[in-house]
Amino acid sequence: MDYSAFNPTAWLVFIGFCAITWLAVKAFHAKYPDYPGHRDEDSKQ
Amino acid sequence: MAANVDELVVRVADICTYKWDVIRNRPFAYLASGFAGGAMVVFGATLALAVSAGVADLAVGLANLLMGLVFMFSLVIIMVSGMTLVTADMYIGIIGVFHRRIGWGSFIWGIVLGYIGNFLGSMFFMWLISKSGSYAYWPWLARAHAIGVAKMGQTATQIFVMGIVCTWMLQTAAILYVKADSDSAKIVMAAYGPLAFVAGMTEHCIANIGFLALPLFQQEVYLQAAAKMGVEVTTILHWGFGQFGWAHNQLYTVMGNLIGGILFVGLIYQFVSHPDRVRKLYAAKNNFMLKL
Repeated sequence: MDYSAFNPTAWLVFIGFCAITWLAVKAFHAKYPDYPGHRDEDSKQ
Repeated sequence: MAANVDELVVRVADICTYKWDVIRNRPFAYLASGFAGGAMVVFGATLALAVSAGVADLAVGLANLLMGLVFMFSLVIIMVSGMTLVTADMYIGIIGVFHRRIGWGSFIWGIVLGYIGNFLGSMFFMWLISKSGSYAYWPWLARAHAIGVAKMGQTATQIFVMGIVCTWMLQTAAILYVKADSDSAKIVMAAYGPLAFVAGMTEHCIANIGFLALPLFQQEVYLQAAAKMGVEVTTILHWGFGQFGWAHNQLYTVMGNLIGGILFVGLIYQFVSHPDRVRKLYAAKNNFMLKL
């Protein structure tokens, strides 16, 4: 598996990273619902 | 005086608004800026190849140092010119997501578009170099092939971890570029990134696109030169997956680079900043876009 496109170690770590990142943003927004206190025009679109 | 970390994440969010405004409204301009950024990265790779041929046999580590020293201005010219390097921008997007400037879909689209632009620039520039005579002499052919063998011969995990290390270093430099206020401080910060990741023998997806394509573009010339020199060639490089494959290196480098920049730079700076102090900064703001 060292030279496979589906190396389990790398893919598991990568999937874990995606999950951690998504959960981190979700948890942060849940804890600070009005963060950062201003929504500019870009975010209103 | 340089920005504190609270001011820094707000600056980064403002840059995010600017960059994703270009992505949304002028995608071809963003693609062109990615093309230029990708080429600028391999300006450095070309110089690194030029100065390191034959040096690796003289002193261990010296070739890495020389490569890093000539490579280090690549990020400076990208940042000063305002062009796009996707591996320097990943932290910008994730901080923008935290600050509700962009959504996940926009973030992913921006990364993909930046990568495509960088890919085209990096590949095109190295294709041009492969058509030159300057790098078709034995020391440079042998050096380019040796770099290809070393980088594409690694296992998936080896490439992956050095991909993480690469953007951890590079995007630390990129975010410190934003933190710094004076031009000289910005240049020093931006120069540190490529110096560290090249001298540190890490894996950078955009640099590797062109750097590892060059020995493939030149492989036939290399084999002819090796035959003339009486050198036995034991390794043939290829474009696909598997050992000594270009796609093998690129896949795990991209995955590692995403983790290094987003998790170890973007998320960490965002969590170190103080939400209440950031809110106070927003309350006093009336401009939410910062152009690079």
